Amino acid sequence: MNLFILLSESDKKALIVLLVIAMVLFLIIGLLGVAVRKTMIYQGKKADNMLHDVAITHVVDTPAAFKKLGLKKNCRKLFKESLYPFLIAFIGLLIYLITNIATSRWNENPFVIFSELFYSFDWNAEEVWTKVFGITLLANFPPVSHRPTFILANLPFYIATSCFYVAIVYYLISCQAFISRAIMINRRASSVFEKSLEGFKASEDIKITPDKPLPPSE
Amino acid sequence: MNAIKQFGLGILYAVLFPLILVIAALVGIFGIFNFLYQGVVLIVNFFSGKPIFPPFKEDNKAYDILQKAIDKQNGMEEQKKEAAPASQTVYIQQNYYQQTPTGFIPAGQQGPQIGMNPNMNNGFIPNQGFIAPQIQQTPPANNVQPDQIPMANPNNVIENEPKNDVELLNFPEGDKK
Repeated sequence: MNLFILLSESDKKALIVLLVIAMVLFLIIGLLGVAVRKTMIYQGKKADNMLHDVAITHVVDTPAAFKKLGLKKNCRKLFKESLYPFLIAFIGLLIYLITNIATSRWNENPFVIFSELFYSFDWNAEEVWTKVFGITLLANFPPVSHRPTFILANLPFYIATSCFYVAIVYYLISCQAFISRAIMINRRASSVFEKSLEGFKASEDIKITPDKPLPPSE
Repeated sequence: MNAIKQFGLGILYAVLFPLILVIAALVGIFGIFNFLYQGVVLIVNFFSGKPIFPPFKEDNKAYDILQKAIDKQNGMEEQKKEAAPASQTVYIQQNYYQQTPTGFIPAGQQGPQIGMNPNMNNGFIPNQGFIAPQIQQTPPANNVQPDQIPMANPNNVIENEPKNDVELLNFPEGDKK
């Protein structure tokens, strides 16, 4: 209560705005996280497809062997999936090299050239940042320092940098799929070979169905 | 309620974000090495004439087991065992002998007609009496079969010769002045 008395009107307003921004930000991050989680569940289902036959035929009969085969197949899948981003990156590299050989612009950064296509802001301008309780916080929207400009001579750099960015995002998605498959394989390794004693009584007769063989012991 | 849950998850993901980023970076680096290793294996397999992605031995075993189970279910396995002896091809040659007043007609000179008993001679079968020979009735010419293209009778064809004469129903009255 004393804290609110100490604050000035402008500080109170700034605090409310900050709280609203934080809430919206966390909400967006939460939604993004849920979306990523859903895609990971979808990607993880492919691990089931990879290991279904070997599990139902009891070719693989221990969690360790299951994980080992799962890792092998997962690595191969990662390789197949990452072929496309590597190919895109290779094309970008070729464009960059050919352009530089032709124009001798080795000193220029293609990523900086690419950023000229977008707005840039002056984050060091005055009144952009403010101090609340000794913490530096954003107070104003930064002024625009550069407006988008398209230079035809830089077109190969634009294409090459686009290729690099697309390849990086594609590769990250492939890595995410690899992680989700690895998580699913670890879960399945414990659940597929699980033996439960829930509801079992030793005094009862052992019931063996001849059609369905019992899962092998570890 | 759902929004609060999302908000809480957002805080959790924001806190865990650096850890997630580190894991992603590590997997990314592992992926590069994996790419190089698998690439070398792929090239070796390609130049040694093997399939570039050979199936794992576990997959082959599983495939065999599944195939056997399918065969057993369909009863194919027993048929395969039964079908083991080599098949024999039997060629049957039919010889026809017809009795005539002069004797037997040698085989090959005159074969039996379609629809007739090969032992029949002039409608008689020995020890069986007279049987009228079955005459195949040919359909009448006008009776067109469904899969037959009918032939046009030349007498019924009316030839329309092109007329060069122009018949004017009304005289044009354009420039009547």
